[in-house]
Amino acid sequence: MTTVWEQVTASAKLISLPGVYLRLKTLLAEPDYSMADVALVIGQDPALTARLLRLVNSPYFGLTAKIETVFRAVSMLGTQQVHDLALATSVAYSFAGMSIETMDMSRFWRRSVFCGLVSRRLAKECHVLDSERLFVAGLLRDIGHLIMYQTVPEPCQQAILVAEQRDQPLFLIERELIGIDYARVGGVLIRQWQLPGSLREATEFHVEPLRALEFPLETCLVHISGLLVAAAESGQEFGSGALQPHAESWNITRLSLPQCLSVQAEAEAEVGRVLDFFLPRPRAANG
Amino acid sequence: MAEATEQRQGLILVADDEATQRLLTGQALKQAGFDVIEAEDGAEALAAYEKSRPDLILLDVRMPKMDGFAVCARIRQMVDGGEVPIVMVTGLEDIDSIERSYESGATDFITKPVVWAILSHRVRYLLRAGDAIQALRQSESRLMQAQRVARLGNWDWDIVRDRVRWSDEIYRLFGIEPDALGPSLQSFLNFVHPDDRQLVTLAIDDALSNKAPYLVEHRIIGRDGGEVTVEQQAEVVFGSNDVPLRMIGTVQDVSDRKRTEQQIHQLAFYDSLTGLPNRDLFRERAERALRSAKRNGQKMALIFLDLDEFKYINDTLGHDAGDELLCEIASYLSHSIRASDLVAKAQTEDPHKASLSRLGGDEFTVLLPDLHEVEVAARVAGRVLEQLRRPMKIQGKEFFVTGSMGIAIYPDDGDSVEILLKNADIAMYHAKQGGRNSFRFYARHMDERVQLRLSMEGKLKRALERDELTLHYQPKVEIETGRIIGIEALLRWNNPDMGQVAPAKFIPVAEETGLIVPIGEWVMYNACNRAQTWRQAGLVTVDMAVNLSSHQFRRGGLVEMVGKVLDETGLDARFLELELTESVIMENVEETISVLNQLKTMGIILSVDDFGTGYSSMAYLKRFPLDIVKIDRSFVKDITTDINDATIIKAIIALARGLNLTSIAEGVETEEQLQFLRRHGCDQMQGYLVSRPVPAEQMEQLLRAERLSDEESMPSSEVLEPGLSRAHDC
Repeated sequence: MTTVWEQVTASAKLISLPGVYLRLKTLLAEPDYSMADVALVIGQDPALTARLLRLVNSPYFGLTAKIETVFRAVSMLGTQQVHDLALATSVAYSFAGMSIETMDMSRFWRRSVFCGLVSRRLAKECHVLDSERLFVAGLLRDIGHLIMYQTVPEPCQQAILVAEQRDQPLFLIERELIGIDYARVGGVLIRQWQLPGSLREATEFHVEPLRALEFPLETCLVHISGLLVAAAESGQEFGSGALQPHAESWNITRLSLPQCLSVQAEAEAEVGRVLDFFLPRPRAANG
Repeated sequence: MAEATEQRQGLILVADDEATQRLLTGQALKQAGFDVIEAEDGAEALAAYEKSRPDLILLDVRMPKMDGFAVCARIRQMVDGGEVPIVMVTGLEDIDSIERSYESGATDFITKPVVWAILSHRVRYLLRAGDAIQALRQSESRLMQAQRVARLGNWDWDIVRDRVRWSDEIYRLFGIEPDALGPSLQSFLNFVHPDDRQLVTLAIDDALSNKAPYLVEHRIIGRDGGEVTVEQQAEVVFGSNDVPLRMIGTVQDVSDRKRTEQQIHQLAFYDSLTGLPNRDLFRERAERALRSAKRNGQKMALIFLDLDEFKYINDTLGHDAGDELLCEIASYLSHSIRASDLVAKAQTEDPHKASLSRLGGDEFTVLLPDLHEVEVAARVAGRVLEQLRRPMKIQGKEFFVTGSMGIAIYPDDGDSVEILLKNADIAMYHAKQGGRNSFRFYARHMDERVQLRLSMEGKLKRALERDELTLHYQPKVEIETGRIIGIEALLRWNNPDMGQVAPAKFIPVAEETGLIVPIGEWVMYNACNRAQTWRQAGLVTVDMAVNLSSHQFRRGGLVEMVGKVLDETGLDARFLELELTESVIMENVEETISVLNQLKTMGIILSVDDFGTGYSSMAYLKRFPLDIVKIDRSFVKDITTDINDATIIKAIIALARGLNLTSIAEGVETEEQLQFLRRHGCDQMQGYLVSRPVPAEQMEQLLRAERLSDEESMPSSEVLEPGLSRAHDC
């Protein structure tokens, strides 16, 4: 008999990132890659190229001049940001075909993009150098749920209800009822994909930010972002009950409650404008 | 007749006024085989002599009209009358007549009554004696003539009486009248060149004491002050008890031979242009100095000098100017090592002195034997550099020539002339590499690099034929838009033995050997051709940049070459950019401006490379028709960490903008550098961050990607495969 854990990890193993992204990641791990190399690798995949250029020219960046080639995107935005965008769109792409009856996929993606936007804005407030990277971290925060909803849908539904009833953090209930939580599963995915450490820690530990060893700031930012998004979506008050950030995360981020609330409002306004550019087209378009 | 059978023994003239006497004499002579003619008196005798030229004359003393004495004297006065034997026939005991006969030049006398039986014998004896004398006289005169031709004089020293007899030729040699030389050896010695006097007396003394003949060469100063070189040979004649009796010697004028010898020596061992010792004499002297240094355990230095840029002067001003310059330099150098006296006194040179030679072309050597300390060599080299620093006037124009020197020391740097010369050459090459106008001492590590360079030179010559050269391309990007707006063509050499050779290594070799000309043309053609091919394929609307070396620029013909290449490839001039380094531009400002203006008129884009590294002067920049300033990579490297570099770059960008020039940063490697440049308004960038220089195929791929995504419209509805099934493909 297989355990839930085995079921979930086996399912996670089936989710891989597109080959073009993997090639890009390999290239960026080399010490002397150039912008031309990056552009040529991405250029091998016309679909990714198109998605990337769509993103680059989206209101998300608010550039005045249109960027027409990947090479120009790379030289304008830099290789890391192009990588992160490619990653974001690749992750979404990888799950795009997934249909889960118990889950509204478009809502899931909206929440994830929303979280990404909040994380990015909070990072800017904190003057984090790679603030753009926090978008991907926020985006991936909830990725574990995609596996769990597919593998163990009913217990997941139950956990949500219990968590709401008890006003307790979801991950705690998931651990209690299912034996695993979405953050842990997200961590498995990130590890499997060999993504950067900051993304792994933020995804795996954003529910318990003090466990982050190398990237506590990033992890705390995603932690707060998740609570802000949950608050906005549920209409509940950020900062109380299950939506209360870990006390230490205030010290680490040095953010204030008003800062967080204003970011929450700005991101909520933004999400509608940029969501389409991140969101995989619904499967319906196919049929 | 029995007599008739006898051989004719001579024609005898018998002159006597008594017929009986004539008859008897004639018969006696005829019987002995002589031919006889007769004369009745003195006048008849003279006439007969003149007519028949008898071999002997018998003259009666007493004859009418003209007596025998008068006839004899007259004959002796005739041109060839000196030698015919004349026998006077006198009365017995007529002592007076015998006396007169001798005075008038008679050869002998016989007295009457004549003893007929012995007359013919007497005549035969006389004839034979006359022959001998004549032979002697002839040989004497032949000898004299020969000696005169050979300019050979002789002397004969009677040691016992201490009297010397001199031949006429000796007087002639000394330029004095015959007999004007005193009869002593000392008077001869007075004419000997003071420097050679000891040599001669020593030779004489030696001959006397050792009984050995001698041969010495010495100089003679004639009365008129002229110098004659002679070869003197002598030997001593010894008496019993080994007492020297006489000394006989010859003196021969060998001045002409000596001069010829010297001319041959001069031709063989001296450079005809500068008069300096040539390679052969240098070698001979160096070998000698080396032997002496080895024997005495001393040091020796060999300095190798090569003029910088001499080829350039020769090429631009012609060989006459080049020759003139070499002569001028040779005299400068002679002064600087005080070698002028050596050059003049080739025969008596002092082997311990420094000597200067010309090996050929613009190569000179200085040999310093008996070197007490190595610093002396450095001082001499320094002095040479100093001398060269003076301006030279050639064809009315002033020139400044510099030289590079290498110094090799025996025994440290080699123990043969060959190795010392080779190592001095190597050290010289390093001096040249190190910026010229300097000297270097040889060091062992220099070898390797020179060997490498020499082997590279040969390989580079074949690189073109063997297709080992390629062009790589590096994009230039407009920072504001991220667009590729230009491509720089960069030369690469891939040699089968050496692998990839860095341009910094082989371009200097190409420049030195002149190979830069065909290689430069090859680069220009291939870059333009590639640009045109890409343009025709619709790939780029960017510029192709080609680097120019200073040699290409100064050699002349650049404008023509570029024009020809553009014609052949069909590339529009406005898509060609030529990159020059700052130092090339500053080298010869007026000429540069003129060439740049011509290129500019053609429509070519001009950029200055490595800006900021040389004596960059913005004021100068204004005078050149430039379009682009390329900021050197060394400033870009530390812009994000070094406040000075950051300031300099900001200033260059601002100045370029002020002069309406495009600024481009070279060697951009990080995104931080790019952000800095973007922040400060730098127009363009180039470097590993964007792309390494890549082969044409790879560059083409990038350009194709640029065009493709350019043309592709955004897909309105993207068709996505299901992620899970997609995942299996990866």
